Parts: sequence; structure tokens; C-alpha cells
Amino acid sequence: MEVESGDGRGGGGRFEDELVVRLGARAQEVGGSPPLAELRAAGRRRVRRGTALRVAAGAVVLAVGVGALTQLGTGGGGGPTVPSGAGESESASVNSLYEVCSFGPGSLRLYTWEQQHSLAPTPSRTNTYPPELVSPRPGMSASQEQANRETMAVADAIRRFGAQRYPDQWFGACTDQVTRTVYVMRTPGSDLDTVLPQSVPHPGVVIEFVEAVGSRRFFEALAVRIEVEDAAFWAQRGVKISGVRISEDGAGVVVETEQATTARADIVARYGDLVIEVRPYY
Amino acid sequence: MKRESMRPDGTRSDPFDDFVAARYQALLRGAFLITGDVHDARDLLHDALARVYARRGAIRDPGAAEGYVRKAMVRTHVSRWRRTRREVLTPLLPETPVAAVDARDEQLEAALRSLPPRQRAAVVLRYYTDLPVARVAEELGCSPATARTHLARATRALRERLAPEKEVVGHGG
Repeated sequence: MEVESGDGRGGGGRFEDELVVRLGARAQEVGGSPPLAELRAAGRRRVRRGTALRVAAGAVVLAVGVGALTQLGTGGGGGPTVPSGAGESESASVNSLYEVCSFGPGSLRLYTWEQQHSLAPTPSRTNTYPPELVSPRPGMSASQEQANRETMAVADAIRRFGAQRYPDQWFGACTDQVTRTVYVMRTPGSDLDTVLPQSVPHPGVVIEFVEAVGSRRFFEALAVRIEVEDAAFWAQRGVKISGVRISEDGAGVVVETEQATTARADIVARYGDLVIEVRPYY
Repeated sequence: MKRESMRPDGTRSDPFDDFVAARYQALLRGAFLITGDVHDARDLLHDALARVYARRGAIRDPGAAEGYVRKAMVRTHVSRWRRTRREVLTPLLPETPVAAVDARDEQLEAALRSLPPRQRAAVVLRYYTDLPVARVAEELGCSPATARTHLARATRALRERLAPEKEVVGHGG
């Protein structure tokens, strides 16, 4: 949904030109030379911190894995399967949180609320993981690693194709590296399901199509509508919308507000099933 | 971006250092327009540079580094704003030397400050950094349609705040 058109350049002419000049003049007020040594030191600290975190995460995964193996070895099964187990955590540490769905797109619901909707990766921006950033998992064979990279490359190509060619149907894609499956989340009703497999080479990779309630573009517009356009409407009712997040499985949005308890019914009434949760904002 | 290269004079240099040395001032000015405060701007920029420094080995196109830094700045700024927006503001100013600015700049700053952070960032990216809307959208992390919406709303709000007297004159008859 294109809420408003125009980029503000050209249409408003003189005002925009004046704005450019005034911003430039305002910016001239600051200056300085870069503290290179300090910046390098800060960068190195960040690298060390990241390394320490990865090591700690690896240790946790290893511990969980050993625990699971021990449990299997002693026949101690029988409990419910929790879809956020070691394998999934491991995958998530290797790839983007939203790019891996070891149990299908539904598993993304677990992660959906980690980030504000605007910070979540859109399909056109997901190809941001150069191979050198993807570190090999401990214990993974070279061939497995290669297969995973190929699957991710296919997924990236699919994302680019879907986002560019079918922006009104496209929601996203995630991969199950174990089964080498790329789940494509899109709204039905177009020839995407036929054209995409023909257009994107995917040797050895299975493409599965999963229904999304709306396209990524649709949900982004909905989020803007709820959070920005309807802000006055909700303010009149004493409700402050603190955030809107898109569920990464394409099921809807979650609305955050301090008045969740009292406003839940009104919010659901206004937006219907597109709101899958009204969550308290603290 | 390679981690080290050889200068013509035989000394080693880090392309990241070269990039920072060349673009620091421009980036700082952009950060200043986004935050409205020179100290916050330095914090924001240094934090963004540290983030990009940590991943500089993965940047294949050195020309893209500036975009990465701006993107990190915008997102960090929006995140910080979300965390701190409910802090109680005090009318007392900190005891720091403040550069004298003319009334027109104060008016612009007040108008910018009234914008939500993403709209403000959109204005800076579009009208100061002179990026096309598609790049603004990319750096804001939203669709071009959403970026256009941010820009349209921001310019409308700025126009109302910066040029109210013109509208009043029109209805004075």
C-alpha cells in the first residue's frame, strides 16, 4: 500500500530547496578530525566481544547437544518436542534469525517479536551474509557446509526474485537446511508458484510454497497505519500504540501498547484478524 | 574492504582508516542533523564506525562502507530513541559550552526535533545526504513506499513549522 506519494523533491520546489540549504548550513556548525586510534580500539573491542559471545553460544549449544544425546542414550524420551532445540539454535547462530526455519515457517513465530517491524530484514535486503561471515559449525562436515551454503544461495536468489518480481504477493522465505527446503511465504493467486521454480535454478533444493496472509509490503503499510496514521484515533481513546511488529511467518502483526488489557478488544475490532496479538508494552 | 594495503611510499595502511579519514566530517554532520546534538552525534557515529570496523573484512565494495555506516547510525538512533523516549526531560541544560546559533537555525532544529526519528532520518538522508528515495528506503530499512510516506509527512510538518507566517498572510484579508 502506498500511503502517500511523492518524495518531496520537485513537488514542493522552493521549500525543499530552502530546506537543503538550511540543513547544509546547520551541518556546517560541527566538524572535527577522526580519533582513528580510539575508533580502531573500539572496533577491536567489539570484535572481541562478538567472538566471546559466539564462543559462549557454541558452548551452550554443545552442552545442550550433549545433554540431548545423554538423554537419548538412557532412553529418557517421552517428553514433548520443543521446536527451539539445539539444532535450531545452532542454525540460528550461523544464519540470520529469520532465514532459518527448521520446522517450517511456523517456527519463526517464536522469534517474531525480537525486533521492531522496521528493523526486520525485508526480502530485498536479506542477501547480506558473505560466506566469510558464516563460520562453520563445530562438527559439521565440509560437504554439509557446502550444501548449506548452496541452499542459502538458492534462498537468496529466490528472495531477490520474489521481492522484485512479485512485491504484491511476496512475504519472505526461510530455509530448512536439514531437508534442503526453502519455504516461500507468499499470498496465493498469482503465477509465482509456477514462474519462480522455472526462473531460479535450485539444484537439489526443494521449494515449498506456504500461504501468507499478506505481502511484506502490505504488512509494512499496515504497521505504518496502526502506529502512525491511527495514532490520533487511539490517542483520543487514551491508547498509545508503542510498537507494531510483523510476524515473520506472515500471519499478521502484533501491537504493543501500555493499555493492552483495556484496548485489546478495540484494536482487534478495528484491524480484525490481521492483529494476531495485542501485547503489553512495559 | 581489505584489512591492509600498501601505500605508494611503501608504508602499510588500513583502507578503513583511509575511509574514516576521508568521510568522518561528512558522516559527523549527518549524525548531527539526525540527533540534533553534537555529543550524541559523535557517540552515534563512533558506535556505528566500531560496528562497521568489526565487519570491514566482509565489505567487498569500499564505496559501500559509507552506506553501511549511515545505516548503522540510523538504526542505532531509532533504537536509542525507543529506549529513552519515556525518560523525563528536564528544562535545565547541562553545564556545557554551547555554540551560539542564530534564531533561524534554532527554528530548524526545533522543527527537526518535533519529527519522529525515522522521519527525521529520512529528511537528512534525502535532503542533506542527497540520496535517492530507493537508497533512503534501504538505509531506513523499509519499503520505498514507506520511505516516501515518511518524507511526505516530514516535509509537511517542517513546512508547517518553518513557514507558518506565509500561510497566515494568505488568510489575512
